[in-house]
Amino acid sequence: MNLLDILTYVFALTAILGAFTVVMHPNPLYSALGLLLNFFSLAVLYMLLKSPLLSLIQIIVYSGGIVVFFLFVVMLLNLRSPQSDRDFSFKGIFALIFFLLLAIFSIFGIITFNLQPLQPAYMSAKVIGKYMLTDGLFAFELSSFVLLVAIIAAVALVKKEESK
Amino acid sequence: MDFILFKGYIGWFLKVGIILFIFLTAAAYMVWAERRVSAWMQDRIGPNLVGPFGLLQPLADVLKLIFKEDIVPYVADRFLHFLAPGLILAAPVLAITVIPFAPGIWISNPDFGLLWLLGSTSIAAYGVILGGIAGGSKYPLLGSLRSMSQIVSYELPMGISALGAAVMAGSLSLVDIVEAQRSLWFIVPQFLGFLVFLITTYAETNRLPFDLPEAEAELTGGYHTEFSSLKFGWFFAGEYANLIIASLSVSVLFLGGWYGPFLPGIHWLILKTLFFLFLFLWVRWTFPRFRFDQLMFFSWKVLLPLSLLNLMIATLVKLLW
Amino acid sequence: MDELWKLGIMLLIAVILGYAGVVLSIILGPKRPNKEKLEPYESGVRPGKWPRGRLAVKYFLVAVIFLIFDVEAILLFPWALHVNDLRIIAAFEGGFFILVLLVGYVYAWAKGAIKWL
Repeated sequence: MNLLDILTYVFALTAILGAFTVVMHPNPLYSALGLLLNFFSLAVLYMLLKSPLLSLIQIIVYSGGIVVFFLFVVMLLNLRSPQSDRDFSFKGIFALIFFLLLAIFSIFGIITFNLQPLQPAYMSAKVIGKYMLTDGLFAFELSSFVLLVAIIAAVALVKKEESK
Repeated sequence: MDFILFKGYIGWFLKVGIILFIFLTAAAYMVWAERRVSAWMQDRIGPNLVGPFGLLQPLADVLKLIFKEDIVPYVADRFLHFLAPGLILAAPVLAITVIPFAPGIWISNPDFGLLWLLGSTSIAAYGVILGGIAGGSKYPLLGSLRSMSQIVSYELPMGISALGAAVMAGSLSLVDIVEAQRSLWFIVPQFLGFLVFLITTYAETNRLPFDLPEAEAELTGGYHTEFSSLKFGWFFAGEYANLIIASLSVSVLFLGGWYGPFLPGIHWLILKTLFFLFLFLWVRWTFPRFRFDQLMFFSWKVLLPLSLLNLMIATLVKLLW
Repeated sequence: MDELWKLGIMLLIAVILGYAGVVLSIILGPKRPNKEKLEPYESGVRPGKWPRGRLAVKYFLVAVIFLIFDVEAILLFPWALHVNDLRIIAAFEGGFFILVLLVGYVYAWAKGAIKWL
């Protein structure tokens, strides 16, 4: 086990820790912070897989944008008021069954298909850009339409709310 | 004896040590410079007792702050209260990693340096945001809220105007961007981008005229109201370290980094950086503060279209050249 | 040494540097807390309730619009590297991408979503 493997396991563990904090912590503020920890660990994992562009996107868009957005939402609702739903619910049972199925299938898949660890090649922004502008052009332009739909939806929802 | 030439592992660590030492000392001395310059502009004297011209003042300040009591208000969130000050100092240290000072003098030159620089800005924002939430009282919370919308609004024009320089150089590596300015600084074809970037750095570092997150007149200290001892010191040092990073990045992206006539290498970068640092101080003691709606208006309706226009100009210049 | 490792080491140094000072001052400073000292600073007014209450939805809207344009900006970074070699093709592809999002920008402006007050 070399240093790279150790780092991978450490940050995989912190990513899982962050994810658990998101779900389990009674304070929504800490849930948002757990998400931040999760995103940051993922960014480090992408770095370890030699994909710096993806890693920096993870930092700038997810940590810099989405978590700020969630912090807004936490404050929008109410800061410091744990509103956790600790009652018995079918939602929880459902999620648990789904999670167990996913875990079983994953382990099953790894065993049967004899998956090998990825040998990452360095993916620079230049390589990804080349792909985006030639073979992946359709997806690139399509993403702008997806973003357009998102803007229109957000504006329309909030403006409708205000006109009431 | 390779390490004297900054080669090999030991040489690299030596280089890191020297750069960080100079950087953090410079950040501490910016506090002194701010006090002296503001005093000079307002016809006062400023700190002049500790050492000649008060030059030992920053040292005295740091030593004093270390030995002060760390007060955590009972309403504060203890974990965040610990977390935020460290983040605010870690972010500029991360940013200095990719800044090229002179040929061969940089800590690291990844081929995504510009993105790394922008990423470290968003980490610095977390120091401010979490610091405000951690305080637990109303002033820091308001400061934190304002800071969130402000940083969110100004990060976009900042990224897109920096993109202009990337288009011109055809690379995201800051060393390549400087090298591409050998014959012509990017400020000439990218004047709009330079202006937008300069303005956004004022907002990202919470300086006047965009210092609403810590507007003294209305929010006492803003996001760092509830901090004391070296935690407060880190907020202070982090702000000035961010100023230095901002000045360095403007010089590197648009003013040709180490290129310039007559003087060799690093002198030019230092001169340019000092100019922008002085500009920061000058602006602070000259202009009044924006109102919050003006601030949002300015970013979304003026700077964002301008930065997109700048990107178009960059592309056109690149195509016609 | 690989650039990525250098960045990793710098990340470690940055975190250590940041928290060493904080821990140092927590250890070295005196600890004489009393009730008045630990109260939050509210301009001399007696500290009231917790800061709570709801935010205006405009903060939320700014965050959403930022998020969308941030994704746009970050997708343009890989594009920027190829204006040099793909020339006019890259210009058209990027131009179309920006144009579509400008439609969204104009829509948001026209609907008054980026009007603050």
